[in-house]
Amino acid sequence: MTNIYRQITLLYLRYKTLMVLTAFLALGAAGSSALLWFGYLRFPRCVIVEAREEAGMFLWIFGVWFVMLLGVFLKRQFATHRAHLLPRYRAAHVCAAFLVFALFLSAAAAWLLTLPAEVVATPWHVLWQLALLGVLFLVFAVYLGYLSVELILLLAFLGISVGSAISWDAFGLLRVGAGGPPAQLPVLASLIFVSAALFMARLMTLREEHFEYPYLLTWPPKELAKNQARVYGLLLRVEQAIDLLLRGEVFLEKVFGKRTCGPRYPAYPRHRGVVARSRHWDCFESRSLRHLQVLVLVATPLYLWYLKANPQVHIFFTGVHENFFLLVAAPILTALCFNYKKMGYWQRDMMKPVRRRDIVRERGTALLIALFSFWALFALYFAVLPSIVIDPALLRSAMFWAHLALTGSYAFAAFSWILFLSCLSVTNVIVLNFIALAGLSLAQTYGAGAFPLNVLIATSVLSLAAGAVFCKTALMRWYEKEIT
Amino acid sequence: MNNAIVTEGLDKGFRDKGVLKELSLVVPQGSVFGLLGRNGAGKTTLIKCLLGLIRPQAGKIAVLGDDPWDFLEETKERIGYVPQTDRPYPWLTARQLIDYTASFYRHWNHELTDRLMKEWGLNAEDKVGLLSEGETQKLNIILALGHEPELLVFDEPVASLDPASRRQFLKTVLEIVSDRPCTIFFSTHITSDLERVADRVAVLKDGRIAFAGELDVLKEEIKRLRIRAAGVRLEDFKGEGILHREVFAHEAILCVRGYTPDIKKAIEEKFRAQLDVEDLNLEEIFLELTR
Amino acid sequence: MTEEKTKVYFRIAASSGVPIYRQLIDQVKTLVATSALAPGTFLPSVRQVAAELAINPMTVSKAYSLLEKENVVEFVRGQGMKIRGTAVSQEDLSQRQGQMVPLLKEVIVRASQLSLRPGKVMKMLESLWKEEGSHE
Repeated sequence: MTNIYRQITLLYLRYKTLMVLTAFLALGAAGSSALLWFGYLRFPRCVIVEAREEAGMFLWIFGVWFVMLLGVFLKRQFATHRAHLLPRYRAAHVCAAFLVFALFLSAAAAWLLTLPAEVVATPWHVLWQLALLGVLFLVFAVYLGYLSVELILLLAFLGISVGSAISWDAFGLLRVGAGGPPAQLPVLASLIFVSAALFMARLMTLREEHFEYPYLLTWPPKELAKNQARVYGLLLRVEQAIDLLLRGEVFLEKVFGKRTCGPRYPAYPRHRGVVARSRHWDCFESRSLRHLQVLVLVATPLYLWYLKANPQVHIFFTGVHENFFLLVAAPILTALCFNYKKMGYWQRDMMKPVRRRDIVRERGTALLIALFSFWALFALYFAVLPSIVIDPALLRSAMFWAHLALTGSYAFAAFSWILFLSCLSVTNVIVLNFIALAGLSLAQTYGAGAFPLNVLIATSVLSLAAGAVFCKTALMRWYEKEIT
Repeated sequence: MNNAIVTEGLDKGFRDKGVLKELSLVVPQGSVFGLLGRNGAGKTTLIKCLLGLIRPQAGKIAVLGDDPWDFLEETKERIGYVPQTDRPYPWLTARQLIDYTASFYRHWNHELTDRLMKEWGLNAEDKVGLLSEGETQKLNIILALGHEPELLVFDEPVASLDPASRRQFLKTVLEIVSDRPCTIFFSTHITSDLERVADRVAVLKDGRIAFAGELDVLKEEIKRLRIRAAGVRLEDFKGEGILHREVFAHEAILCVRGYTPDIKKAIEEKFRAQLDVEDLNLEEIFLELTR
Repeated sequence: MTEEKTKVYFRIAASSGVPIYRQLIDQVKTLVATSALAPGTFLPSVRQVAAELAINPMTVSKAYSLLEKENVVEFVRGQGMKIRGTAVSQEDLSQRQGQMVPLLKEVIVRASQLSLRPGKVMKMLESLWKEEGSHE
């Protein structure tokens, strides 16, 4: 039995991504502890006040990444025939995963408890929430990796609603403020245990026929296309049900216009501009776009009503136009996820009768359009619409729009930087670049709140320029790169 | 330009492993050319280099007179490619996938693709993701044939097809070859199919082409000789043309290349032996050449 | 008036050591020698043969052109390959004998396995031949 655990430990140690993240977390925690204990007396008060919120935020963001990677790792171990045929395999892996998670929580606890009281007033509060959300995210990571983007958005929407319903002060889930543990502690505790137990039980008896089996399958683009087929069986039935419910085709066509792609697709528009040509590559996507449009149509009034009816939620939206995660990271991640599955087909597309440069340019354009659309969606839903409901005066202030503009242009710059990174091949250079990007983004997050108007505008312009440069360089490099 | 594919001095490696080394190959127009090689010999790598999907470290390639890395649109319209295992766009129906692919080409024969779908038993309204492996491969083949290209490149096209479907595929390919001038290049290890259909073969070994030429010539040149004589020793049989030799008590088995009837006479005289000449089929030739 | 093309049943073993074109040539020659293909009849077209046997049409045309070279058939414009009226020439004798040798060797091997003496086998051959001859 010990040999099994030794082998599993080795397996984890060889999972480089997880190890890198663990090292990053450990260094961050140790470094910040050291800084705070030895230097905090000399730091001005405002830094401490900032740090108070950010200890929790730091654990939240990076902890969630850690747990999601753990989930992906677990997913790969379970959706194989080995899970069923090798003796003691499942038990050992599940135990190992929970041990790792427990280790992570203990490390987080050790860190939180060593921080000075001014920084973290109620460490146990944070820990409980981390544990609960950690388990939930572990489960989500295992099952979620595959779904189409509209389902992810739907689930995110539901998650946010559920989250704000659970805690009486909106998003108090992560507020490290004054006050004792939340009143809903027993609820949280039982949620943790029940979900963990259910998850473990299900994993122990996982079979191919179980409906969730295909969702656990692996990610790399080569496998992706094969596995999508199995997942799509279920999703197709859901889509058909939606269509039937809405009896939607006629109505949708009246509202959104006729589908661009009918049984015979229009010819590739060789003589039109880059944008028209880039849209042709995905002309068969109209179906999922249509569902997204339905979602939007149905959800908007509900959303506005919900905002009006729940004033406690308004706290979340104060300062949301500066919110880095929501308006920069989320659109980038969503745009990448939306196009990730298409990357599997790029090689096949190289054989279509379009010149290599044109293909690269058009695919790039499609990515940028996706980024812009998602940013606009997030900005509209999380900044503009709530402001209309909560505080219309905001919409007249230049700062609001300047902040929004900054998030947009910074998102463009960061995305282009990522596109540029995708053509590099030396790992060290990539890591350095990535650290630089992360550092700059963090600085932006903290600094943007304090910028005056002209600095905001200047930074926006700078970001747009930097983004353009990265895009152009990435384009040049992709012309010469093998597409696999 | 009477060669569909010409490549010289091709070098391709991944990280520190060389796969293709100074490879040279010529595929004349109008031929049905088979590429044989063991697993991992680099057949797919070679095909991908020829189509500009990956970039060789050295060497010149000309496909239909054009440089593959940056094919002109017109050249791409004249090429059809069926990759090894590929399950494209699982959520589309077969019909939608064909229409989507057709939208890129200036010329597409819808009547041909419809007929092939019917003949090969594919339902146009089936979702691609739910097709079996064999059906997917058939669909891939139809997608490559629709724009009636001059050069067809297949990478193990029939690996997932049952014998009946393979025969159908061969018949269709041969029909195409008789209807219009077309060059077919395919890699496979089903040697029996190659024997029916190919007029030229090339064997890929150690990153180079060990043999390239007409299949009939290959069969006539490579023979197995069974020499029965007293006191034969291994050292007696040396020479460049000998691919393999084994010596038993009173018998030696030689596999030679470049066989001519004179050799038979020469050996019979030299060893005062009885010589049986055995014809080898392509599978056995392949085994001998890639030992 | 177009000559009817005879239905010829070729049997080829694609995976034998003998090239397909050679098998076709041998079979045509055998059919001519046994008068299954009378002089003046037309061989089926290249396309037909290739389609039926699922082989490359170029192999069939190679066989046909070699047969033409050896004067077994001649090409009639617009109609195809016509079997020549001339009898098979003596130059082929050694070739034809060469084809018999492996068969005869097999007979010898089998006879010794079955412990039959040469004289016995020869007598059997003669009587069987007479029987075949009487059916013609």
